[in-house]
Amino acid sequence: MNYWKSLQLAIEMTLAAGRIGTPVFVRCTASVVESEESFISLMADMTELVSGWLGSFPCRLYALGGNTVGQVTATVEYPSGALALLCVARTCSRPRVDLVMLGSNGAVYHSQELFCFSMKPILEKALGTTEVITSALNRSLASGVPTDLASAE
Amino acid sequence: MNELLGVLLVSGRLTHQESYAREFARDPRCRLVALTDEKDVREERACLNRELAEELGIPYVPSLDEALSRTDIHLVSVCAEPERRGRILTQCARAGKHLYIDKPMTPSLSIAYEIAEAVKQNGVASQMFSTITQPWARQAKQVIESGELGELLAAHADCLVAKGHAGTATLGRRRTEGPPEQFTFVDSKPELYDMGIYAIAMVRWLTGREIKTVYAQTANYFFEAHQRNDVEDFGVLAMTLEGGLAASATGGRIGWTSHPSTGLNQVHLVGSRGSVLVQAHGARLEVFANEPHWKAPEEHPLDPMGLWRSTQREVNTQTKKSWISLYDEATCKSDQSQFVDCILEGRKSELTAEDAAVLTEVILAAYKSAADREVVHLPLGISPQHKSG
Repeated sequence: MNYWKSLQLAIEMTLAAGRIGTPVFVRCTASVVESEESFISLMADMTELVSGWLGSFPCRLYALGGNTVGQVTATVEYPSGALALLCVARTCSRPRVDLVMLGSNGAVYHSQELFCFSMKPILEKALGTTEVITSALNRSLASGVPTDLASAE
Repeated sequence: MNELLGVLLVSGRLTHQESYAREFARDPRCRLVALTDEKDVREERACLNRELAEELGIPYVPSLDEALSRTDIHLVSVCAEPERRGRILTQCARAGKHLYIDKPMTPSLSIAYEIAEAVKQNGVASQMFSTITQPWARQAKQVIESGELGELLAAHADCLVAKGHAGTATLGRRRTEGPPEQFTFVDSKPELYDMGIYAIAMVRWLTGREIKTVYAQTANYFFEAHQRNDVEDFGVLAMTLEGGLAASATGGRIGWTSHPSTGLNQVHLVGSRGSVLVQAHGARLEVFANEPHWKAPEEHPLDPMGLWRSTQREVNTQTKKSWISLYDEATCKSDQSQFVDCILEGRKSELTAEDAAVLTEVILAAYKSAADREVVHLPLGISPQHKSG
């Protein structure tokens, strides 16, 4: 059973019911037991997933940390004004996810230590846009400044 | 010191003085002496001041100058509006009085450092209200100091208050930021300034490191009133600290029904050996019972956002009951009493006027970043464009 798929479906169901209004902000922190090479890859996947919830492809992102640092933190901006603050970090103990999603009139909170769920992959199939996001993350990490993303269309 | 600490209050009803005064009054080492304000304060504010003075059973002294000349006053709790607070704090420090400071201290960088200098020159104690003295924050500090997280890699703090009737903002476009020119409204506040200060202060205090860069955004997600007044209801900062530590902070007002309790107040600490999420409401009972659901209160015309204790009492705002915190005012020492400890023990508080000045600088950097859409480096330095008020 894939944890991320389960989480994605639950969130989408909640949003579709209109219970929290329009989603405007997501903060998601994932502590993972992974090799250091995959932090940026996981961050790109998480960005893709969150972007689906916020309803559009990001237009800008700013990343801190890196694969060898043990964590990557990213601010992600959307054309609608929505924002996401995402963090993927290494842990030596059980992996966990902490999520806050704010809607224009409500909120969703989720915290989960992961026992039987697989942490990878976040996305069931690779999308072309994930590569664009990965490239932007690397550029921002290398330059230390925010990076604009061209539209995925 | 065997005598009681005489406490002077500056500004009254419809400020945080409604809470601060009560905490000082509860402390057996303190005595509320009087309530005062600047002698030319507008009549509406003077009237509100007199109302709180009467409620507390203390005299109202219309002139701050006269009140500060009293020798039975040792400590001043200053809750004047942000536009006036700074100059009042400087005057009180120069009068040799210890300062208890409503947050944030001032929106002016030059005045912020003037206050810090006046505190230093006059050898008085100072403390700005924050959440760092609360039990959950102390626990987070202990976790870091224990070493169980290993080397600290990142710290992420949130302070989002669950008040106000949300769902009225017009969405769909990015906010264009220009730093706020007005901080006092009946129906809104610039929330990056007003709530973000808590999260930024928490990050700085927990890590013990200065903030070196800020990349920030502000937004209007929830309230038409904030949009109309051209102030944000939500703000986000991504920061780098000394030593390359990554950090982030959010501050905002998210609406009555967006949290089971008073709001999201938490910090996520990421270390080389593990991470931990520490929450203000983490230690709690969750109670489910056959009783009426909590309902958001009616809007008070003088306080639509639910800012003040007195107005919320007038519209019969009920406490949410499904979460019962194990730590409350009955069991924990207040921020105000912890400041009294510092005064009596002759030690510095953990959030002095100098710390508060640094936090003003970080917030101004955040507004600049949000306006310019660039990473801003600190320190900003004191320059003419930062002077205000």
